[in-house]
Amino acid sequence: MAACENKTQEDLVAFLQHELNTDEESVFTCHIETCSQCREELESCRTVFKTFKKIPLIEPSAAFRKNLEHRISEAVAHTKRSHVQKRPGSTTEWQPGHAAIAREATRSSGKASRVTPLGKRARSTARAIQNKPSKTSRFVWVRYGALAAAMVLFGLTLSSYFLFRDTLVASNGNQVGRDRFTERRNALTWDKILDEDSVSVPDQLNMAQMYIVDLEESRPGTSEQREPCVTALTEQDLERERRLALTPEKEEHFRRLIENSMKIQVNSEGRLVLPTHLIKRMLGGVGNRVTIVRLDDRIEIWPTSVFEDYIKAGPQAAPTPDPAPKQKTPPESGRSSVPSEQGQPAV
Amino acid sequence: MKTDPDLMREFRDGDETAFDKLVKRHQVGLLNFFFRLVWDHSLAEDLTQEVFLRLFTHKNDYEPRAKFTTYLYHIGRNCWIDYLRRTKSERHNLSLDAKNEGGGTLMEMLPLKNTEAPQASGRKDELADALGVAIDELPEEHKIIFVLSEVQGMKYVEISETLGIPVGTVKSRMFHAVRRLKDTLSRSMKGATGPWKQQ
Repeated sequence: MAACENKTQEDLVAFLQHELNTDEESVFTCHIETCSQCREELESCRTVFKTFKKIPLIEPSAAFRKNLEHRISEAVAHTKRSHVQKRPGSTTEWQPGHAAIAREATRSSGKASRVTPLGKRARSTARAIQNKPSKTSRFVWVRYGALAAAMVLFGLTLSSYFLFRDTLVASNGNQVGRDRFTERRNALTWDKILDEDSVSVPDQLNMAQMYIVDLEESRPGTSEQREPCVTALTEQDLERERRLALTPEKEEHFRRLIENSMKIQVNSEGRLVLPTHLIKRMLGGVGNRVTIVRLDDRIEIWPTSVFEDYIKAGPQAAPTPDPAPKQKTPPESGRSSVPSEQGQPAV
Repeated sequence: MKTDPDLMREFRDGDETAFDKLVKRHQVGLLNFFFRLVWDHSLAEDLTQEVFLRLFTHKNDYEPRAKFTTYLYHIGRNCWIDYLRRTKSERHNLSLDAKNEGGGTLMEMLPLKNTEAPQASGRKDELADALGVAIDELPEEHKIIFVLSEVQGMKYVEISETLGIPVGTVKSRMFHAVRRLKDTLSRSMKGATGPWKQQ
């Protein structure tokens, strides 16, 4: 066989299988007659085909048709199921198992506390099928909502503070007043001599734009609870008093305050002129020595003897400046101008 | 007698009895085609059922442009390729000489005819056994061509259409398949006389 060309060898097999046309077959037949090697090869190949033919045909088993029908019926049922499960108009391609997932998601969505046996991926698939927003996207909206609410709350708190801080201060007025000598470190005092109705003004004080007010006269209460001092307020303080006059009682107090107030008068010598009736009511009978106390928001003019008694004995002591019949007793409790027990003015 | 395309057309129109007739007509050919590829009756039946199942589910894809057997065995070839892919890792054990689960060899499962007297048939059965081993050792692309030709009796042109390869390739592969079978047989039949004598 090796002596002949490959073409001839291929024709040998094709000749045996009757695959040659008439011309090829006649050429090959002529070659066989002259080539003993190819004749021998032809016989060997023919034996291969003959031997193969001895392998008998097998027949299908008895269960062949039954199994085939079963497989076909299963395939048909699966196809029908797939058609039924495919929802018209759904953007999500329906896959086997989606029905169970969707049912489970529907059940679990009705009860928030119910623990769904589905995994995270299955729940996500079910949401996609039901066209619901995912848990992540919902969480993002909740987070944004909480952030916006927090910002609004913060804004309201800030604006409320600025709107009502004066009210808050007023509600703590006693505290502020009681500690005004101790906590306000910039409180300064000057001892001055009252010459008739005027007193010299320290250089550190600028009282040009202030008002003398009869704070004690405008305040409700008995005369014993009033403090024996003359008070000077700035315009800003008066304006604050006006804004805080929210209740009828405070409104009355402010009205009296304005009625009894007068602008600071400085005479030609640069001395502060005090109203005569206030000198008599507050300072009369306790000598001509006065102590000017500068606080943050006001200036007070005290009889020096009474003021020193305050500092020594504290607010519990009841100063009884003699022989003044109108001398006011410092209150044990109540509003504003009582120095605290531990308090020492920053003199 | 209705032709295969006629039956297929009727089946496509909803007549399932036509499908039954097609199954009856081609089940033996397909079964033996697969049996000579896998040498396993049960597996051959399974593959045959797979072919008919695909024919059933893809009935609308059939167009009578070629012989029905060409279409049918093209499906069979696809099932065969799918099977080879599925069992690629374990196919090295699927040999005629390899022991199966029952302890026997696939060669022992060959349904060789044994109707002749032992003295007369022993020689021929021995040759058939050796040929079975030789076919099993053929490359897959050679094996399927040889089986299609010898079992189904397909011409080279039909085989080329079924497998989608040129006729010359069919002829060449057939020649190489036969030569390998002859060489394998001659090696396994050392000492034999006649055409099996070693060159």
